[in-house]
Amino acid sequence: MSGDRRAVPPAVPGAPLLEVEAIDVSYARHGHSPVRAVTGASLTVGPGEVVGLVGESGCGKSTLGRAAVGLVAPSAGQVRYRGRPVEVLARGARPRWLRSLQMVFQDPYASLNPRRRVGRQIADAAALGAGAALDGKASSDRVGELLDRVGLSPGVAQRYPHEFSGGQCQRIAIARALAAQPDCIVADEPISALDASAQAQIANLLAGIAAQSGLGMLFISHDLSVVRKIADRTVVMYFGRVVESGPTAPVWARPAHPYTRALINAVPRAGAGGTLPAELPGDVPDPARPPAGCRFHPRCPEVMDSCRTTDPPGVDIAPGWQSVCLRAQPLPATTTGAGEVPGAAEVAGRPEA
Amino acid sequence: MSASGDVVDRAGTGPTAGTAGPAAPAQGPVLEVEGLTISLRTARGLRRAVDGISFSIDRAEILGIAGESGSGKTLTALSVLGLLPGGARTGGSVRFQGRELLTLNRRQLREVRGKQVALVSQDPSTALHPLLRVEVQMTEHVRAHLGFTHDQARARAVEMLEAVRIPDPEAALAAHPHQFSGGMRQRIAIAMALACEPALILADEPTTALDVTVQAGILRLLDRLRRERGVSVMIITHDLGVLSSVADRICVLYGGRMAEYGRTGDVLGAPRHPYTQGLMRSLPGASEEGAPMVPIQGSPPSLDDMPAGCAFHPRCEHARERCRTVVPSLRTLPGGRGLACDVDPFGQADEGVAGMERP
Repeated sequence: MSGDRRAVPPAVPGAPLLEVEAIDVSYARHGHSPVRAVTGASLTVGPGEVVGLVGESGCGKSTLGRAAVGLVAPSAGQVRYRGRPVEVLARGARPRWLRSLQMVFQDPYASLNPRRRVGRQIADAAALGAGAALDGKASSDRVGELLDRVGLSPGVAQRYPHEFSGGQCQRIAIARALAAQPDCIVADEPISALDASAQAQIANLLAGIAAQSGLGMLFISHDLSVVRKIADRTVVMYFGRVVESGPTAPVWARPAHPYTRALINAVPRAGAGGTLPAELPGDVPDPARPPAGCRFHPRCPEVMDSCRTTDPPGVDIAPGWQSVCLRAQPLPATTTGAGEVPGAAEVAGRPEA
Repeated sequence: MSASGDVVDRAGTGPTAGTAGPAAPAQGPVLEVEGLTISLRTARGLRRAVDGISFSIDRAEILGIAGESGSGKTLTALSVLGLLPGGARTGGSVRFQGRELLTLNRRQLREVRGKQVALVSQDPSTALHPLLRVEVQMTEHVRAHLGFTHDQARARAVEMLEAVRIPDPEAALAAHPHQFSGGMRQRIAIAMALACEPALILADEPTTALDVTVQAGILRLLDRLRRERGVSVMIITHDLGVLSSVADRICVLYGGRMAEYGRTGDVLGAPRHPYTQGLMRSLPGASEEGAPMVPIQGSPPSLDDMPAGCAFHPRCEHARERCRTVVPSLRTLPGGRGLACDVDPFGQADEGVAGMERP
């Protein structure tokens, strides 16, 4: 290891915590042209902010998350953490200044080593976070503290992953991520493999950690209703592109992009009294053959002729709220910033339960 | 078990003796489960995984079974198909169109399984053979069960693919499973399940692996099938939002026992069992605008450390001393509801609505 990989460079003042700027990510395919999984996607995560990234499977949200922590290399654009370009994981150790950028994965059974006691696994991460091996007492104290923080008893450190339920394993994976003293966590579908009651527990835990320690969180999920509850801002991806991004409450109340509306209307609601969720016909197109014009036009219920040919530009609906749609209109200045948006229920197309 | 008899909630629909013929239109319920118990062999001996579950499903009805892992919901479905793991012991009764299934031998079961009762599982890729073209998979069981010729079976396959709205069924028959997206594969799995025109579909977490947009399509499909073809559906899921949109009645399971049952609107609109109440409060979609999700503390119990008394008592904020020792019996409530909670902390408002206190 060269010395400069260990040095922690000073943060660039004024830079957001995590900044994904216009990245493309392509996957090479044997005997075929490469597939662009992500095209020109941008987002930022600030300290203490939970950013929800939603979209259907295959839309590129996980790829974007992996690029954000340096697990895959963007072919264009840049990912910056604290204003410095994120280095892509190579064969050597990950640079130490990137250790405070951590990831939590979907399947906790796959991300934990089944043959090591959970306390040991957390202690390893704690030693890395502290920059030096901790002695026995300091190490077990730190592990106990971390287990306590994620709502587990410190006594469970001696157990193995198979002794825990899915939700408990995800807590352990989160404790391990926290052991590295992160400033920013990318959580890729952290609750979708869990039982109903564990989903709310883990979502609340992650949101609570962000709020209490000023940690930035990119929360990737296909479950819009959870994102609505815990995210400060919502970013919607379709077919490799960010189609809408903005503050969660107004995006939900008055989604500006037809795809966001379709997603919201497809969420089944308990207590909706027998209302069938609305279907969005069609499938995500073949990534090797993206449609011309707006990529959503073959499925869009509000398609116009120009959508078939024109690649829509991003339109500022309000400050910090963008929609990539030819029909998008900026909101008049009077309604922006107000807590309530008139006509919200009609636009959402569904009465509240 | 203590209250298995009074659970089937429609009065006057007794057991339908004499409807043994497979094609006979069901007079009573399509499926009647009474006092079902299933014990599994574990490393620590025989453990009761399902304890006294009773319900029934009418023709063209969608019954939702709600529960988390370990609630016994999947075992219940497997018992209908005779697919329980080896060494499992069953008790009680499972009657399909009046015919007892628990005592059938393998040959008799084969008559029912796949033909009259079909299973749709969570992961469509497990239902489809990756190396065989869709046509082979969709015609094989039709020819075996119904004695169709190749051409007849092929025509049936096309018809079923059309029913589940697969664009270009002919092309789909020539394709291999990997050429479809997850949602399309699940549609094909449902089309396969439908091909022998079963009276009952058991759908075990049929949409859990799918996106919300695709899920909406599958739920609408199930709803359409029961309306147009009179198919009965038992849908098993931990997602109360899914049940709320399609199920006519639901049955909430916890720790292998029934916690609560009744019409979907009643149970989810005004849950009586603290577990149902907790599930509702932990749902992001159900809680009010801006209200935080309130999760139930703790985890569902495992088979090896099932709590004494009410299985939910260690997680229940309303638990009393009695709950720790006495298994609550399943009581019948007005309006075809049932509840297994001795404390019944959410009872009063509902009783009032039922006209027992207020005029």
